[in-house]
Amino acid sequence: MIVRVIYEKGDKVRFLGHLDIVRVVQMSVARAGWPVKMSEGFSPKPRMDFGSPLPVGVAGYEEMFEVVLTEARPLDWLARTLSAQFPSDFRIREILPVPPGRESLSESIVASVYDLDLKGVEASALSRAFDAFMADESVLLEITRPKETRQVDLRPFVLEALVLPSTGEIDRPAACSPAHAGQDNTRVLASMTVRHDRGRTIRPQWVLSSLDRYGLVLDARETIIDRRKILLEQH
Amino acid sequence: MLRVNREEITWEDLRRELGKVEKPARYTGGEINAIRKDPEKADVRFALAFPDVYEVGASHLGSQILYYVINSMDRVACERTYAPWKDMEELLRRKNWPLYTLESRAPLYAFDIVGFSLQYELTYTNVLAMLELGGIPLRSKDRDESHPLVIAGGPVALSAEPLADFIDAFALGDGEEVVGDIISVYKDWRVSGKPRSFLLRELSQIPGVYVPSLYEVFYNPDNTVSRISPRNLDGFSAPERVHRRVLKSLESAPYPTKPLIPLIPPIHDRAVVEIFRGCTQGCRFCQAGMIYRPVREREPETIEKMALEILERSGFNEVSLVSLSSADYTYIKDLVSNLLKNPCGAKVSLPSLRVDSFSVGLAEMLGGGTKSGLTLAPEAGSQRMRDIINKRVTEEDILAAAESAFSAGYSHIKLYFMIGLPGETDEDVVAIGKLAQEIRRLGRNMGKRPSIVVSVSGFVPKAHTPFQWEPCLRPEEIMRRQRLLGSVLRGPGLEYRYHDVRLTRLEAVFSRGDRRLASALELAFKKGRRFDAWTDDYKQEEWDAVFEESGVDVDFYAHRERSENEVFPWDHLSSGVRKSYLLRERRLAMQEAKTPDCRGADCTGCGVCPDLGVKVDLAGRRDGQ
Repeated sequence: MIVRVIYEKGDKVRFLGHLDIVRVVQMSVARAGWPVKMSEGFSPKPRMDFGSPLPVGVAGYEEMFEVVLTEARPLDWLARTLSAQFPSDFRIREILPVPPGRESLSESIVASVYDLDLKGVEASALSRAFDAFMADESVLLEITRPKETRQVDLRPFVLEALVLPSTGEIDRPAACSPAHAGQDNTRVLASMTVRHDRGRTIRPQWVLSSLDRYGLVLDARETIIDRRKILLEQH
Repeated sequence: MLRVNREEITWEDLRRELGKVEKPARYTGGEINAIRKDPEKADVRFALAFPDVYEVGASHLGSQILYYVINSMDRVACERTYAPWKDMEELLRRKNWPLYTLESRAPLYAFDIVGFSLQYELTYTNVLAMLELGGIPLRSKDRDESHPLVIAGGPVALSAEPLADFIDAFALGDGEEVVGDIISVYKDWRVSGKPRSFLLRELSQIPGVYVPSLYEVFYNPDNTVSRISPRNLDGFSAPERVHRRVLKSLESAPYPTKPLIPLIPPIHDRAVVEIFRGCTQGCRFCQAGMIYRPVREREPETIEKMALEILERSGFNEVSLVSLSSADYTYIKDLVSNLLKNPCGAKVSLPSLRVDSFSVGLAEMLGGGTKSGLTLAPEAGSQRMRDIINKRVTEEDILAAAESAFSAGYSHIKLYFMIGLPGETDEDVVAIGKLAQEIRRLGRNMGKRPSIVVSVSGFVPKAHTPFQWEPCLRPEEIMRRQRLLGSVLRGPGLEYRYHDVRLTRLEAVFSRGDRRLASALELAFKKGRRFDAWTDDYKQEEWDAVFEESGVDVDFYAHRERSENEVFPWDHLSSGVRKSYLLRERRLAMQEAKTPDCRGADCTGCGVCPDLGVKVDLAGRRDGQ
């Protein structure tokens, strides 16, 4: 039996990295007593697919992983046992059975929708910068990782970048709506839809960092970013 | 002084800023099995402060035990904080935020008691940084009734005189024994409304609690200590000597079976069960082997029960059976084979194995799929040196261990040695290389392609050990011996690693230092020294300048042989092992004579059992002896 677990990586655990999430979820599933199938070979690992990683600092409200079980269990049992073991600010949204023979989770993700909560910028300035970004054909950014520096063209990955009305009235779960949004006039809410291309994607922070070439300088690290939704390929 | 006008740093404050520091999850808490009591319902708020980075502190067993023990007390809330890494310290300073605890994000200064865990001398500058960042005056004498009581425990507390001016009270020995007494004295004092000085006096009456400000140290013209006496305060004086508190039985001691599990992997990312405390192998360089006596074992059934409970409640896939020498446990083989049948399918691991084929046999039992490597610690290369340090293994033992390892399928063997031990000659240094070569040859003759890692650290003499009179070699001399060893450690399949001699020297200064080092410590802290044990950040020039400016003679503390009748800065603090015994052991070392382990053989007369009213407590032998 393969199940897909749709869960929240909440606000307070946003600073966990992807590998931390994998470890925490694996340990939670072990505590929950799920009969997880282990991989063959020298050092067996639980057979789990974590789809699309979230970077440190980003929360997610419709995250997903898939797990192979050695025997079937009722979905409500799975939900109940795992809920009891998830650390605080991890929440199960839904557990679904996955039909066999379907392509891997990471391959079937086509896009991510992010909410951005920026401080110290004007909505109009951000809007202009987004428009300029979208009007460009190519936006190259150098990404520096500990072991390599590479150039990424951000532009083709961004499907949409919008500044939201300052009322804070946006469609998202209550848990992730910022407490004081709308009261602060230097606070701007925005939304960004980013494409995944066979597992490859970009981070919204990178887009924010690239906006300096359109005259908008901001510290992307101060922006609160949540992934609201993961869009899967429809079959 | 850092103060904010509110009790807590809000999440809203933090979440926009933490993205700027490395591994922000170090500072956000929310761990599995973290205990969050309502501060409103606590009479005493206790902050456990670990003066090293989160990943080191979060899995530290002693701190986990104390966290559990203190939180089990009614109306007492215990929270945790760790040394902020440099980027986080900078953020705290820039935002004018105090160092806070992870559970309620309350500043350290809001706590009643702040308790530091001292595992290593090179964390002293972090202790000072945490006090200042926590909004607490650095020096004990500058604190009043509005400030927390600052205490410290852990192995280093028995010789932490360099911290004497900064810590209100030290807890010596097993913390779970003494912490309850400290909290109850604190509670009574607060109700009484008496001045802080009264609290310190009351604390000094608790066995195992050392209040340094109640003692005066007198010095000889040659700078050595002449006398340490309790001050006379209107007829009151603290005890002449403070004896370490010892848990009589580990079997009945409280132990968390719902361990705190950090959300980011700590350095020891596995379930842990302490199978016994204390070690009587009697290695003469080893402080832990002296200051944790006697051996107290848990019953195997208890260990199995605890291990299974922890595995089930944690989701770890490995359980480590820890102690100072796990192969010595009375029922180790049965214990391991029973535990290997655990229903969770978890691996079993043993740290600190002995160097003999029995231990390698155990390692082989553990298997664990990957035969990645085996670590053995012969400590010295020649038989003469091993006799001097009382490491009671022969060359045959070592080679037999290596042979068992190779035939069990291990090809990577890591060997730990020290150089600069008392009485060491160049021949003894070269013997390390020869031993490693011999092991490699053995592996090759058995048709393997062995890879041998030789890891060598510089010997640092420690207080409360038979070698406390010995000098630490000068950095130049250690380097010369390192090079000498390097010249005989050449060849394929041999890798040579050695420690930074500058750290060896710094550790040597502080591990046998006195309270006059306080000014050097404070200066180092003011100059920005932090995380001194982290080699990549070590700044030799800064420490040189610190010693120069504060007039500290490094030779005096680190490189001098001390005379047999010298009074040591820690002589008023007793581990239970008598100084006369340590001196006798030192003389036996010079004669290259061995002392047996009292676990199986007769009493060797260290004094711990009669003086502290305890005895060796082995599993399965409690009734009738």
